[in-house]
Amino acid sequence: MSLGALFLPFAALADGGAAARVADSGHTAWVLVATALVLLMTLPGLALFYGGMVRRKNVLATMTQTIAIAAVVTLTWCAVGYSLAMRPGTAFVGGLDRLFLDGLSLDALSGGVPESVFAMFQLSFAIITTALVPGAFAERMKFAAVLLFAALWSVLVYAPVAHWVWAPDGWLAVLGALDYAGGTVVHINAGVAGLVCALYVGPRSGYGRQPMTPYNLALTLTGAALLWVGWFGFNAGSGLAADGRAGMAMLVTQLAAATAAVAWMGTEWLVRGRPSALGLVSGAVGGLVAVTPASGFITPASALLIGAVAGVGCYLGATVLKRLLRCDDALDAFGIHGVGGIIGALLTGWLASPAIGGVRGDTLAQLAGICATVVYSGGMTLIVLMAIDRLVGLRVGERTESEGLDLSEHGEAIA
Amino acid sequence: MESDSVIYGLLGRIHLLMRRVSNRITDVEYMRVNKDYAREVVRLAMATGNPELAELSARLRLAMELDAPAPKAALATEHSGPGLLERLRTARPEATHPTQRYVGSLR
Repeated sequence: MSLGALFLPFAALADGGAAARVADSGHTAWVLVATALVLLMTLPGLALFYGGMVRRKNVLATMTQTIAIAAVVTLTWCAVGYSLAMRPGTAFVGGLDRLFLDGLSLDALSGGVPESVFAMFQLSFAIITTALVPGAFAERMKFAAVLLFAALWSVLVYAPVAHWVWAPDGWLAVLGALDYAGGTVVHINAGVAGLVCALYVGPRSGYGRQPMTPYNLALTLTGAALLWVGWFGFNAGSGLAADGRAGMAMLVTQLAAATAAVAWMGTEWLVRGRPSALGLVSGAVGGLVAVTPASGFITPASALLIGAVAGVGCYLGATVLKRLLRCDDALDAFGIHGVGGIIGALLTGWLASPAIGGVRGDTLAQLAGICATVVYSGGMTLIVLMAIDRLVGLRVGERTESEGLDLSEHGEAIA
Repeated sequence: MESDSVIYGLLGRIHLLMRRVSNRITDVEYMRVNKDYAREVVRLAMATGNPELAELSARLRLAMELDAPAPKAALATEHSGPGLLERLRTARPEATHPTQRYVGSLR
């Protein structure tokens, strides 16, 4: 049995032939709740988080993109994504035995929970990962291009990376790369894709010369709070069990988020003289991102360390690194998710405790996971963008952009 | 100056009418933060001769204080030296004005 099969939370996935076993009702109940919590992170958490940060003329369009992505990815997940990501296959991609969820019967099990619950839980991850990317190209992409991007990216980029890391036969799982709830699969993947999108699509008109005042940061704070609470389902649900490890995952998630919020706030206070509301919640999200891969493997003390490093690191990622990269990553998808994901993945290799997860981390394996995800996600995202550019074009026209996507793309506006 | 919601309400109506009456696109956000641009849009709106635009423009002038002269810098002689409280206050870095803060970065 591979190392991944021994220790990864999704290792016992997709054993549809286990007819003799029955689902554990306690585990099933918790994973059902966790699924709803993760979906709540996107609908409406991420929609509010992003919607509040864009200009007034693009609020509806930005929130619409998030909700539309949730719908599109649900369809692609059902059609092919789940099968490619989670079913046994090769080291690089899953098999095709669950196309359109064919064969997913009532008594099929994945670990201790029904496979239907497992498929739905995993779908909520695919949705939020894809929905994170538009933060980088906000306020300038055609709606049709966004929909096509979601459909193609969720199948061609998300599903294979999820298989590498979370399927027992995935090559990164076999290598021993640890990613309890999606630091690599979700955050590095989405962050790097966002960076490539921002570079390929180009900056917003007036970027760097005109102020791009956020519409309503109260929406962003509300969205961030929903993300924070929903993250308990994300991390504590990833073991697919209601047990002590899930409890520890929840605890370290809270500790890292709080530490990172304080660390970002403190850094900003020192550097700029004032702690901002957006900075406080950005720090919390950075901490949540960084603790995601580690949450089933670390002690509370390690969570404090991860939170502190992530708080300062993500602050630098969204400010200093952003200036150095000179790209218009509008809502800092890379600065927070990419940077936080890399910090978390590296620290997981160093801090994973055998007493918690039954496994010791391997920094080289973590590094391999990061590099492979950066290269694959970056390259494939570029190919997807080029294909969409040829098909329907990516950017709206200059006049449309000036008018705002709410009116031009949807014929609606905020009063 | 009126509240943001009142000003944005006027700006939005002017934006829509300008598009309808003269097929001209304006930038609502930029009008809110740049008074010179707002004055120019008001001038164009008045030039259309549309009575509703004229009325909205007059209300916007008042709401955004577009006719008020630019504030002059306080003379140095008006202050005879800061007190302790003032010095403590000024030791804190100046807050970046929101219109400058969001140039090139949100965070």
